[in-house]
Amino acid sequence: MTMPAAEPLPAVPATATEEGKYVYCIIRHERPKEFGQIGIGGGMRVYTVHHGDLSAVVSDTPIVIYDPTRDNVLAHEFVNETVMREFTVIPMSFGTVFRSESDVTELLRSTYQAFSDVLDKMQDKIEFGLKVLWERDKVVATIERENDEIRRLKDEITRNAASSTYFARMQLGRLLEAALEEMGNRYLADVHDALKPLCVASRSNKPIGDRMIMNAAFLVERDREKDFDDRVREVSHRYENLLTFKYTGPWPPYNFVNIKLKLERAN
Amino acid sequence: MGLLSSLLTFPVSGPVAGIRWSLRQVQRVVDEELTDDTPIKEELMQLQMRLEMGDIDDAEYVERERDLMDRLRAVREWRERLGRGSTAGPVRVAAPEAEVSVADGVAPPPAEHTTDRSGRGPSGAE
Repeated sequence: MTMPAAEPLPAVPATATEEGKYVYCIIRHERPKEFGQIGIGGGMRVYTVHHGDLSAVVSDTPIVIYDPTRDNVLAHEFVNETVMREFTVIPMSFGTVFRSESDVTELLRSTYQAFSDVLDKMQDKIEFGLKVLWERDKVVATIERENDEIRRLKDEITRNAASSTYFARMQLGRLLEAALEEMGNRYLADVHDALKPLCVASRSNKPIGDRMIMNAAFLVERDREKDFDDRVREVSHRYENLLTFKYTGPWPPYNFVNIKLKLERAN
Repeated sequence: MGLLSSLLTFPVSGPVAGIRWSLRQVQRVVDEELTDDTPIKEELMQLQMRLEMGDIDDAEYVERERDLMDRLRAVREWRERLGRGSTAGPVRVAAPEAEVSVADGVAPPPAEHTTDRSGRGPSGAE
């Protein structure tokens, strides 16, 4: 009995079947495409998995759960940014891992029509993020300057520090809170009105922390990017001393595409 | 006799049933707190914001981030133990099935309104 002298190494190592795919986004592209060694988990190779004219942009990964650390999130974002330079993308949420390449292909196959429709609608559209924080003290100062009733009440309390009543202080606090809310709403409406004509859609997310009064995302046509930039700059100048604008992007349309994946247990 | 026995046992069975019920409630609240990662993610976003605004430095960020990751992992373990799987947020293994749609207000609104993503994108890293 003779054994085959040298068994050729299998093209696919046995462990490869255990290997998962981290999916960054879906694009329309029919040929294999490489995006370089930029993937999550330490510069993994980023490439495409196909079904028809749809491609998932993936990198190899063990089947693990990725913590949303800054490094991991930045790696995810960096890949999407890179892909976005050339393609319209449907972004996947951070941390989406599939068990195998064939699971990814199956996703593309079973959701082909929906992905195609969404890609059509998102064609040449990008997202911008705008967070607005206020300098509460400065806004309060503005209110005190402009609101006679509040100013009078405050003067009165300061003049008669000893005798001023608890009630007067309560009253001042209440008036101030109401005025602050009104100012906040006015700023928000102003910013929205300025940007609305230049975007396709907008969405408000929950503000983060107590200084933030706006946490919004705007969907913008690529060829209006500059107009939108200019308008944001203009508005932020208008409120230079009162509000801080954190303007970010372009992002893939995270806030304008809903992807509901069916999830499995990690193990 | 039936009436009598239930009358006799009422003062006893009443409170006991009540205690069992409230213990179950307590357990449910505890389970939910152990398995809810929303507040942790909110803290993470606030932490990122504070780093961006220069309220904290890089070293402090890294330290606090590590702490939050530990808590996220603990929540994940409880979810597994209580058989809830990883349903929400950025921790998941996906099955090859999905529903995809464009969000409200972009095009004709989709039939189904889905919840927000878990705060990545513009509210995440920058």
